[in-house]
Amino acid sequence: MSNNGNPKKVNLKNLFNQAHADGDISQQSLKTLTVNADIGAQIQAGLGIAPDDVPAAEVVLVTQMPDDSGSIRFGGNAKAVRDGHNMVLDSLEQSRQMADVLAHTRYLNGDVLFPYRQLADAIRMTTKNYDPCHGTPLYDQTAVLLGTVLAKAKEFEDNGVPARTVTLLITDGADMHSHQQTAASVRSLVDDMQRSENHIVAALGIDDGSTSFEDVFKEMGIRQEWILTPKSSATEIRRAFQVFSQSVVRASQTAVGFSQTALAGFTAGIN
Amino acid sequence: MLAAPIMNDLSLTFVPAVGSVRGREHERTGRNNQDAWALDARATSLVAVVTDGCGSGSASEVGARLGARLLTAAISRRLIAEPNSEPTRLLEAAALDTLAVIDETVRRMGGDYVNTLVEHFLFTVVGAVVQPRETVLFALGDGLLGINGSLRQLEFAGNAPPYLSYALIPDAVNDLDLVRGIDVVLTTPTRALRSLVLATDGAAQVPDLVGTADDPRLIDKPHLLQRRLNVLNRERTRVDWQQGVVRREAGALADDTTVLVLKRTTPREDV
Repeated sequence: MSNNGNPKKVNLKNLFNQAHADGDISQQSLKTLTVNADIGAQIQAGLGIAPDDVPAAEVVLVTQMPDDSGSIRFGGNAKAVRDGHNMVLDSLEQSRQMADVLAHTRYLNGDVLFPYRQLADAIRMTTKNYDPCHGTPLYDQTAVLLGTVLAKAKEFEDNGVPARTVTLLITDGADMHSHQQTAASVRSLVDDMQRSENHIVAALGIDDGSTSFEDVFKEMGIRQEWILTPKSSATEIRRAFQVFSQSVVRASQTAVGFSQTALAGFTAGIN
Repeated sequence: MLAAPIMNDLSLTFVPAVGSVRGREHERTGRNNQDAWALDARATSLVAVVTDGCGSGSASEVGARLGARLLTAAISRRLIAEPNSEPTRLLEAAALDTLAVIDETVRRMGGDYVNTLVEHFLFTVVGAVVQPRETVLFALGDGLLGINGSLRQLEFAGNAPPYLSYALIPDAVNDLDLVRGIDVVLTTPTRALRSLVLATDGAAQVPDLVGTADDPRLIDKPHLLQRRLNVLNRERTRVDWQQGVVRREAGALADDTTVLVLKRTTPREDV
């Protein structure tokens, strides 16, 4: 039985120090992920299922961070974001590799919808568990999210299970409310992840009429081919999530498929 | 109508855990893992065989895999046909059954008979037959076998063990001593059996193999055995960030390594 509800605490300081010693993360990234106890507690909240409870030979970690800022509601996009998030989970659930995929969703303001767990246990976004009325601490929470991805992947690797990851950031605005992190500190994490070739970091920026999301995401280190910028309409947002779903399903099939998808970006998912 | 469950079903009384990794040297030279294993679990018997392909053969993984399956199947068939047969006689008969198939296969493969045999079909054997009354562990060649936490390693001078298929080499075709060389190494009343271990000689380098096999978590999480070997054999990279030096540490297991454990799931008095 999994221990989703009561996960064992991971010593994150040791884990990140080891990741640094192993060359997985740079000094800057180590500093970002160990800046204070609060970030550790937030990462801990997302780790979820223990590697021993996952009987897979290898795993793919699929992580989403939907924007729950007030502008999503004011823009009338809450339903499209909910549906898009759920579509990604549904697509993975229908794919052949379902048993080897673990999912985790954390909202942009830090609430954990569910920590890493098997797809069958993943929670869909609903009007009851998604209340977009908060701010946009994009850098702070991206650092937490990527720290969670790195920690979980490292945990699996340390237990003899190869891990690949696909992460999607969803926002309709540039950073507004971060206190600890900057685009540069996030960029350090993204650069380290992309260098290892086991991680894909993608971003979906819903047009707010003023923000250049390509500039925002590129400053955070996200590669052009992993950026989608749909207009603020349900149809466009749905289409963007469809493209991401195709890419993440493709990436989750095999190690070779992952590498090819990682290189090609979203174009690999367009039929 | 549903069949009534068999009391003390051996396939439910014992749970298998298996791990197998390619050795460091085979990894370095791009060769396959030439170890193999097979298990036939029935209500009234468990037959397990672990084989180690001869390192000098170019495709010894072929014979190792076929040999494990063929010998396991032959023993199971013989157990059904002659349930009261004396173990040595039964193993000898099953070995001859296996040799007959290998002989036919080599002939059909064409080319020089001895060369084809030597390149594909030289493998050592360690195995076990668990029946309601008695458990027998047997071997032909090197490897490790253990019962209830004790372990015995079989070694041969010059790392030149006898191989079952030597009996098919024309000069030795009538020399059944090699076949009779399937030795019964250990026996125990099955009611006293808590666990048994079969392993190829590469496992001699596994630190605390006995402790690994005795790990009670294997009953619920048999995949942990494969992971333990994965971790042991993982190549590690260490970065000295101050010196700007990257050091690679090779995996701990030089030779292909396979460990098969059968662990009792229920109290001993059940059998």
